[in-house]
Amino acid sequence: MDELIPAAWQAKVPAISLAHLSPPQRESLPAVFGSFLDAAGTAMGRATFYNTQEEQEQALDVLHSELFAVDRGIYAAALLLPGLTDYTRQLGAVRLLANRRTDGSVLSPQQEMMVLEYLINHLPPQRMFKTFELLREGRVNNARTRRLILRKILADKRLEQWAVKYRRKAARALEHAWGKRTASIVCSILAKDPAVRNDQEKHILARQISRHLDHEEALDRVGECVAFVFGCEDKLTLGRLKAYREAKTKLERGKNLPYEVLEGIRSQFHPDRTSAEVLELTKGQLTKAQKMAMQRKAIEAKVKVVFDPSRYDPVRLYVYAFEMGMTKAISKQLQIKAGESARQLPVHFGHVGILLDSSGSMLGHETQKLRPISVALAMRDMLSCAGDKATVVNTSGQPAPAFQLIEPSGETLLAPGLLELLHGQPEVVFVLTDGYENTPAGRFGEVVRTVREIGIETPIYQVTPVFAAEAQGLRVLSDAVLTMPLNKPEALCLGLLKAMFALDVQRAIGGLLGVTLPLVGISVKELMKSEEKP
Amino acid sequence: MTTRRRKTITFTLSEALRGTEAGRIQSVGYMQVIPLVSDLADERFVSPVDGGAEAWTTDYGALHFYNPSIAILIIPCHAGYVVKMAVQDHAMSHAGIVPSGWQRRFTTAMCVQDSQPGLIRRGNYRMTILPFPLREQAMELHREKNYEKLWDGISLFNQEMGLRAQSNLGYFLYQFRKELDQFVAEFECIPRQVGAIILINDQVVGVERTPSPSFWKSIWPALIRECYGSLALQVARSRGEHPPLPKTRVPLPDGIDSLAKLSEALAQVSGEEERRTKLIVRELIHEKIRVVNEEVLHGLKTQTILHPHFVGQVILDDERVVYASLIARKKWMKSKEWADTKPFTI
Repeated sequence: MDELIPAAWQAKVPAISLAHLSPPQRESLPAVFGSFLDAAGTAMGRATFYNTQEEQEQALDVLHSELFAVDRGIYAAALLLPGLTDYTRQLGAVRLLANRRTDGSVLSPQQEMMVLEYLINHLPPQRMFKTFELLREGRVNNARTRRLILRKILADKRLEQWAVKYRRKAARALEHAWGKRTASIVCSILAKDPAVRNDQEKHILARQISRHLDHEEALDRVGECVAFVFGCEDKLTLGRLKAYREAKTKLERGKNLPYEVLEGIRSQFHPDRTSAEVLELTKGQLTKAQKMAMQRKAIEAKVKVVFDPSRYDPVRLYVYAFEMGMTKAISKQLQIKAGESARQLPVHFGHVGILLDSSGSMLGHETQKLRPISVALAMRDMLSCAGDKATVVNTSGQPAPAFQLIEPSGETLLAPGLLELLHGQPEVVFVLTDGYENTPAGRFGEVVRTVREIGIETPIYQVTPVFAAEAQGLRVLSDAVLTMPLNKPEALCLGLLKAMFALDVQRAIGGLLGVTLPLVGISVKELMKSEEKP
Repeated sequence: MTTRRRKTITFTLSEALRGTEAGRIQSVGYMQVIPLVSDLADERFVSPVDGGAEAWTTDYGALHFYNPSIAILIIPCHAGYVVKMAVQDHAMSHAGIVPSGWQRRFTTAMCVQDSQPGLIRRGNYRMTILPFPLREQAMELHREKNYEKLWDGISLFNQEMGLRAQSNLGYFLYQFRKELDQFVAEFECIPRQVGAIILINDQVVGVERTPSPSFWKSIWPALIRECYGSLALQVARSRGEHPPLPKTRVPLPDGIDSLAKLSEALAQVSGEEERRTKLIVRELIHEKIRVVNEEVLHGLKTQTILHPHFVGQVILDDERVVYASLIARKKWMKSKEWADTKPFTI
């Protein structure tokens, strides 16, 4: 296990005092942290090939609450780790806000708030509004929550776009933060002409809106957006808001609206017009995810939507390539991105062996179709670039060199591929698989056991892109290999951290904080100083 | 157009599987699947899944199919529809043929959900295949026009699975959905696969053959999930969650001291597993199977199997088997279990 832990990391990271933890808590930390990482790196909150959404949610809830119960500061820092899913971060933010702080945490209340702000700021808008929705449903309405919601919605430059795209969600979030009565008062003040507002009204706006803004002068713009989300469509001056109102009578006026907003207006107010016309009108407004998702639709509608592969991560590029075909431009970007990710890894290998599971089940469940194989292929590319030499074989025993698209099919036969790799004496072997072996089940474990009996200690890692809730973690091929969860190549860091936790908890926590806290502007030295204070 | 003749003919299982060969056995838990692969791919036929067939009911026990494709639709034996609507779910009690552009009504179909009124609206729904423990009874009664004919069987099956003894197949499918889903992930289709021999607890329980790999791929999830998966669950329930190693499984020997010897041993155990698999199949393939004609339509003959160990149906194009579905009789499975037990010693 040590072979994969960067020596530099071990030397650099300080050992953090864990005096506030009880001996059983300290003892359980590696297992609790490991299980949390298994889930946190892959959970999407959707059904997988093997589990329903409810089962996933229940299993995740247990894993989150276990780590949270040990130390909420460690939990908060863990949420900042690269490679975690947005869904995990969303659940984490809600949990941190919903639970009152008590003594005994490696992070101070201010530091925890900085982590929370970072988490909310880095969630995609739809996830962020979902987080606010969860807070509303859970009746979480403490001062921290209110401040976080109001600051995020009101001070963001994208408020005008959010006002048309997430109108109801934004209204619900604001109403939750202000309370119904205050929201209603703010709304009626905003509906008035600014020139006739009295001092008391100005004071209310300053308290409820201006104090959350970076610039006072933004009040008019923000006020108009807030009034709009609460249903006021009079005296609009902002481009998108006006477009929203006018598109109801003339579709062309909505060309600067997001695609799905104008499509909604079309289906309600212009049923005789087509979706293709909407796509043509809004093609300049598509998000990068939409540009990718709508390529097929755009081709059918004969609308040219510019697709720039450099703006997408390798997993998305592989999903796209499966659906639309591999092009030279995509292949080139895959190479560039794999190289970049490999350079960011804290380790470099001499010879890497990669066993790629290309069996039928790697296609994934219909809710995340092609995702497991795409993650595995992106990971293969990155690992291939992380070594001086890489040997890749798939479950059919065929070479599967980097940047090649491989269609999943056939049974899961892993043992012969492993042996083939071991004959080449690699420094390390990565097995990229969903863990469902069937020819026969258990053969891989038998072979690994025998390999160890022979005395071959080559580290073997199972890297799995599927979260199987029934095992409260991953489907493990063998107890003798370390299993790592993965939803994107960058998440390899999670596996390294898991290995560190198994070796030395104090140093691992130092490593965790050393990697994560600088992201929010806290240095580990600062943290240690604050720990020394009585 | 459609004629019925009752004439018995005899052939062997090897004839039914002509043109196919056995692939590598897949084994997880109590279930093993021997894939049957072939270079013959008859694309003149589609299943309700890959042919986009529409199904609906107009009366209890009357299941309709419309075939919008340009190919001939073969409805797999005991195909059914458990839909989300609050209506009576239905299943076929035999296989069926619907030529391209045709609409056919099968009045021997069965309700699989009692005390639920309503008819299935015309549409393209997810196809299921009856759980294995119900198929023998469905086959025995396939000529009977009685929509309630499977209710007792479903009630008993639900009871055996620890559910309320009611004739609602939905109870089982909902309660065990997670376990059933896992079978789809665990047993994968392989390239050129057109059929499979399914074993549970070392005993052949089913033989399935379809006209082409695309046909096979389209019906395999229903076969492995609802049909054979249900039997594996039933066996696990009676014998425990941790099955012993199947007879076809050979463990790696101890005392291996080099990678080269391990590779050699792996090849040897794989070879031995293949040999044992073939042995199981070989015991069966020369069994003579009597069949009786059910109908002839567009030159395709649907025949029902008359055999002491198996029930099921085959569809022949001239003398060529394009579709076959044979499942083991409960009685035979019990007697095999008995025969496999050790004689008494003290």
